[in-house]
Amino acid sequence: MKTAQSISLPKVLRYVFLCLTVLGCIALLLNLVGYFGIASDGPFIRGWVTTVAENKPVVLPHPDGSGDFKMYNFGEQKLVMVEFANLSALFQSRYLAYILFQNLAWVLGIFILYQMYRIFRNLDIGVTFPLENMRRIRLIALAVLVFPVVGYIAANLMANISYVAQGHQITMARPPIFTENLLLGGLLSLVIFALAEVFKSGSQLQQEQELTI
Amino acid sequence: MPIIVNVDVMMAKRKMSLTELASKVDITPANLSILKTGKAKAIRFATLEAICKALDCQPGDVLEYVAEAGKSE
Repeated sequence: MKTAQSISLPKVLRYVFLCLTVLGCIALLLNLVGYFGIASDGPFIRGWVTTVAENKPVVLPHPDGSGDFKMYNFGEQKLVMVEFANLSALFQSRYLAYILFQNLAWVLGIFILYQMYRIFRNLDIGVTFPLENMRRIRLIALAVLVFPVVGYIAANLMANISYVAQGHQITMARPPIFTENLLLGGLLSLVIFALAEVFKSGSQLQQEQELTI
Repeated sequence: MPIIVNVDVMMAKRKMSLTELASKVDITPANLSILKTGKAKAIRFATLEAICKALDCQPGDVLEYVAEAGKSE
């Protein structure tokens, strides 16, 4: 008689990461379809920028009614969308470079999710410390390191595109969060690399255990 | 590795097959094969004891130390 398979955490996570990988691939395709105007009115690109300090402060009523109360706008994140009349207008190096880097970040995200799926698949089938898992964790660490760099470049490109598109009326810049992400990515990558070394020791111990008669 | 496992020599002397020894020692033939071919990294005292009992020999008959050529002491 066939017994019902138990639901374990690695099994759940295995399928969660598989679903996320598939969803990520679909989102990437939708992104590209949108950018090249295949399923919409026309081609466009979109991304996040921040407006840099406007020249004049906004004067507001003072809480006590005495003196001035000025508010300076030191940046506000905005989603910008640059639309194009036709596909040929999109085919310029700066727009294509933006699409490349923006979607490269997507690809890296999908790559990380896929590696997570493979790790949990191994755990699910009972292989805890294969050397393959260590290699996959190292790849994740590398992707986590590169991911914010790609995002940073894409954000800079979008800021540059927006700056020109706005005709210098408002100064657009890269949102500061992308700089913070660089540091965070580096730190996270180091932590994951350390984890990979722990896995390496684990796999050596497992191999030793298997070869002890 | 400078430790040589002579289980096959002792098995031949006692005219015992791998399957027979595996069943007497209570380990799988695959594991005994790992031991016989020198791929094993370690051997438990319990396994060594069972092998010595089954082959009626001393641990020194099963294990031998041979210094590696080119390695200084």
